[in-house]
Amino acid sequence: MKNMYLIAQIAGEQIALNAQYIDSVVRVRDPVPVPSSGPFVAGLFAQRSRVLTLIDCQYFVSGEPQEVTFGQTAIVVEIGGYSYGLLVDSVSDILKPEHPPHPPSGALRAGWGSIGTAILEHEGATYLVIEPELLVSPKLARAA
Amino acid sequence: MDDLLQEFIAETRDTLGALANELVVWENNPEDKERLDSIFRFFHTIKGSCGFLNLPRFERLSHAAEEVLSAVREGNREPSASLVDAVLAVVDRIGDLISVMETGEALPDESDADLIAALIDAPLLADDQVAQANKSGEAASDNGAQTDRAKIRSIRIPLDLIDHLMNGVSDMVLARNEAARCMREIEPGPELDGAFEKLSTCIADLRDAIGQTRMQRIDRIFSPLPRIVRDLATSLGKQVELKTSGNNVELDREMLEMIRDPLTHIIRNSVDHGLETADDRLEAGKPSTGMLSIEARQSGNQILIEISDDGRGINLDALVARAVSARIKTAAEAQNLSDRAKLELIFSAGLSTADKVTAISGRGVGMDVVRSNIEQIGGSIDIENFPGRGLKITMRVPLTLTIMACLTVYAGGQHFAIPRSAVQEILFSDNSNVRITSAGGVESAYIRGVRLPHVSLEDILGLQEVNASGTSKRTIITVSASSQLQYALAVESVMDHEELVVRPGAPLIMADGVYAGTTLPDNGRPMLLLDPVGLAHRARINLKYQTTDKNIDDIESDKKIDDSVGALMFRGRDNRLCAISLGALERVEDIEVEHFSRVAGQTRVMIDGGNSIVRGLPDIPESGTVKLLRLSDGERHIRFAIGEVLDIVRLPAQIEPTTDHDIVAGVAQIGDQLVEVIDTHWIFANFSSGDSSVQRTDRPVCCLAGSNDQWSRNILAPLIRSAGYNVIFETSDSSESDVEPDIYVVNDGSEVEPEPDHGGAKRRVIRLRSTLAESADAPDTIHRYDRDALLAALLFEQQRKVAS
Repeated sequence: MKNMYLIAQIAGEQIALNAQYIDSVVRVRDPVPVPSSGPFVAGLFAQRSRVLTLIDCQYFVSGEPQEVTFGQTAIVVEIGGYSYGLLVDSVSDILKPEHPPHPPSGALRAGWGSIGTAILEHEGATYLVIEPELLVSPKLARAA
Repeated sequence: MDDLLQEFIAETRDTLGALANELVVWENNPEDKERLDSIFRFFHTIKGSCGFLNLPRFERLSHAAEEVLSAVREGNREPSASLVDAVLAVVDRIGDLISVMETGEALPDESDADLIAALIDAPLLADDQVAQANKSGEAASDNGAQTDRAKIRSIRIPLDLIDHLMNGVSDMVLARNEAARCMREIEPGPELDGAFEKLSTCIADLRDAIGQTRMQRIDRIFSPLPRIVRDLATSLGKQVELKTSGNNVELDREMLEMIRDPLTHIIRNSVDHGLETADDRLEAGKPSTGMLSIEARQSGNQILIEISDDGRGINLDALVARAVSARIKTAAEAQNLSDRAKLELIFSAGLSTADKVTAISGRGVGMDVVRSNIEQIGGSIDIENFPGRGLKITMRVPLTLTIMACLTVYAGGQHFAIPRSAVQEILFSDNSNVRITSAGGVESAYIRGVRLPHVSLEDILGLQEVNASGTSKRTIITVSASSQLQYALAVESVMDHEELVVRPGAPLIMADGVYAGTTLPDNGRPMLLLDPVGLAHRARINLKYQTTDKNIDDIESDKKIDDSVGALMFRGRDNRLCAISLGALERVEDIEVEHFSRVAGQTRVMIDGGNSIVRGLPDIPESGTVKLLRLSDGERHIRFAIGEVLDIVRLPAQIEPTTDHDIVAGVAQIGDQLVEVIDTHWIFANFSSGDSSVQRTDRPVCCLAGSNDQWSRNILAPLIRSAGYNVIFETSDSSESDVEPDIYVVNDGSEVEPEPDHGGAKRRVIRLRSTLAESADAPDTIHRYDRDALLAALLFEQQRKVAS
C-alpha cells in the first residue's frame, strides 16, 4: 500500500495521493454546510455512523469555494483520528511507480505550492503528490 | 466496595505477573537498585490500597516488607540472601491470598507472623528458619493452585476496543433506522414486522449494555481521597475527618477522568485554606477535628457532587480586597457588588485567597481553572459561603460525555443542536413578556423585566434568515452558557429535544469555538452541536454586562422558582384559562388540520410517519392549525389539544383543590386571574389506556397454546392484549419465546396440552369452545365469543397474580 498512489483530478490537474492515507472513495450526497468555518470546509457528510468533514481541494488552488455537486467524488482519508472527505473532480487510476516521487524542480504555481510536496513520474506522465495533512490543517499549510 | 476489591485483585495480579521477572533478577543481584525500587513500589501500592479496603493481612505483610526494603534502600541493612528469601516469601504469600480472594473463599486462617518475623530478623536468623518460613509459603501456594479459578468474572479490556464496539452499535442503530424507513414504504406483513421488532429490541439491549461498559463508580476517584486528605492534614498539622457518600453513583469513565483534578483541587483548597488548625477551631468554639464531606448523587441526567466543610468559609472583604489589588475590579466597582457577585470573584483568573503560597495550593491556578474544566464538559459549579461556619461547593456534571440531552433548533435553513443543560427557557418573540430593544447596534431582550443581551443565531453564524413558517414570529431561547454568561438567542424555531450521541468534530471545525461537536441523528444527516460559550464569545457578549449589576441575583432566583413549580399557562379550546406543569410537558406542536381525522370515535393525528390519539379535540376545525401539547410521563405520550399558549408562569405553592376528580386538579391565582391547574396524573391515568404503542415487558404473559390459526392471531390475541397481557404463541413444534407464561388460553381441538403445574407453580388454563352449548365432554369452558366471561376470567387471573 505504501508505494501505491491514487490518481485523481483537482481543478483539471492530475494529482497523486499516497494510498496509505486512503480509506475509501465515496460519492457525496446531500452534505450539511458548516456555517462560519474556513472556506475550504465544504460541509459534513455521513458515511454510516461516521461524520466526515468535506474538504474543498479546489479552493487551495483557485481560491474560489466550490459548489458541491450531487454525487461528487470524495476520497475518504483518516488523519489524526478524524475522517475527512477530499472533494475531487474524479478518480482515475491506482498505480505503483517505479521510482519514488522527487521534489519539484521549481516553485509550484499559485496555490499548488500549499498542498503539493513532490512530483511523481510514471510511464511518461507527471503527477503532483498532494499531502492530505496539509489540506486538513491549514495552519500547517500556511507555514509551509 | 466489591468492584473496588475486584479491581484491587486484578491490579495486584497484573503487577505480580510483571514483577515475577524483576524478582528473579533481584534475587540474583540484590544490589540492583532499580529492581529494588520496583519491588518497593509494589508493596507501597498494596499497602496504600488495602488501607481503605480494610485488608489488615495485606497491610501487615506489605508494611513489614516495605519497612525492610526501605532500610535496605537507605543502606541501613544488607540485602542478604536470607532477607531476599523472606521478601520473596511475602510476595508469594500475597499472590496466594489474592488467588484465594478471587475465588471468593474465606482467607485461610493462619498467621503471617512467621513471615514477618523472618523479614525483621532476616540477617540474624539461621538459614533453616528462613527455609521453614519459605516452606509454609509454598504450602499455601499449593492450596491456591487447587482452589478452582472458575469464579474470575472480570477481564480488562482496552478502551479502544470498547469504543470500537460502541461505534459498531451506533452503525447498527443507524442501519436499523434505515431499514425501518424502507419497511414503512413496502408495508411488510406481521411476520417481518415481528422479526424486525425482535431485532430492534436486541439492538436496544446491546446499546444499553455497551453504554454500561463505559460507566464506572465514582468510588474510583473517591477512594484515593482519604489518603490525600490524611497526608495533607498531617503536613499542615490539622485534624481532618473525611466522609464520603454516594460512592456507588455511576459516571461515564471519561467524565470521571475529567472531574478528578477539579475535585482534588477543591479538596486541597478546603484542607489548606478552609479548615482551621485545631487550636483555631477550639477558639472558634468548634470541635478540634475539621469535617470535610463529599457527597455524590444522581439527579436526573446529572451527577451532583457536593463538597462541604465546616471551616472558616470565605472572607468576602478579603476576597474583594484581593480582587482589587489584582486589578480584577476597581475599588468603585467592587463596592457596588452584591454578596453573591463578590463570591463569584473567587472564579476570576489569577486570584487566590490564601495569605501565602503553600506547597499545596495557592499557586495562582485556582478556581477559575476548576470552573472552566467543569464547564468544558457541560457541567456547572456553584458555591455557597457561610462565613465562619464553612463552605459548600456543588459540582453538577452530565452523566456521560457522549450522550447529551439536546434541543434541536432551526436557523438559516439548517438544523443545529444545543445542549439542553444550557437552555433555561424558550419563548416566542410575540410573547407579551418579551421586549427587544436596540441601541447602537446592540440588541437587548427584556424578559419579564430582566435584561439580557440578544443575538440571533443566523447573525453569529453569518447565515441568511430563512423564514419557513411564513410568520414573523421568532423563537427566543434564554441560554445560560455559564453562571456568569446569560443571553437570549433568537432562532427560527425549536424543533425537538433529543438525546444525541455527540462526537468531537474535526479540528478544522472545532477550532472555531462555535461548535462543541457533531452528531448524527436518526435521519442520517449530520448536525452540528453549538457551544453556548463559544457563541457568546463570537457574538462579543460582554461578560461584565451581567456581573456589574444585580441581574445575576434576579436570574438565579428566577431559575430556582422555575425549577420547582414552572407551568405553562394556556387557553383551552373552550376558552378556559388553564395551567399545566412544565415537568410533564415535552413540547408544543402546531399541526395543520389536514393531518387530523376522526376514526372509531377518536381523533387521531398523523405525525412523524405514525399516528397518535389526540385528547380534548372532539371536533376538528375546518381550517388552520391546531395547537397540541405533547405530554410525557417518561414512557407514554399523550397529545392534548389547546387553544393558545399564553405564558410560562410560576404556580403559587398553594393550589385550591377541587372536589371533583377530573382533569382540573385545583384553582390557582396567578396575578389577578384565576387559573385551572391541569392534573397531569389524571390525564395519564384516564387517557392513556388502550394506547398499545408501548410494549411493556412487566405485563403478565398469556400463552395461546396450539393456536396458530387466523382467528387466534387476529381476533383473540388483540382482545387479550387489551386486557393487559403480553401474548405469546406456542405450537406443538415450536415455542416463540422462552418467557414463562402466567396463563394459558387453549382452543378446543388444540393439539398442545399445557402443563398446568409446570415448575411447581399452578398455572391457570382458560379453555375456549367453538360451540354455543357447554358439552359434557368439555366442562368448564368458555364460548369463544363470550367476551364478558373471557375478560372476567382474564381479569381474575391478573388480580390473583397481583394478590400473590
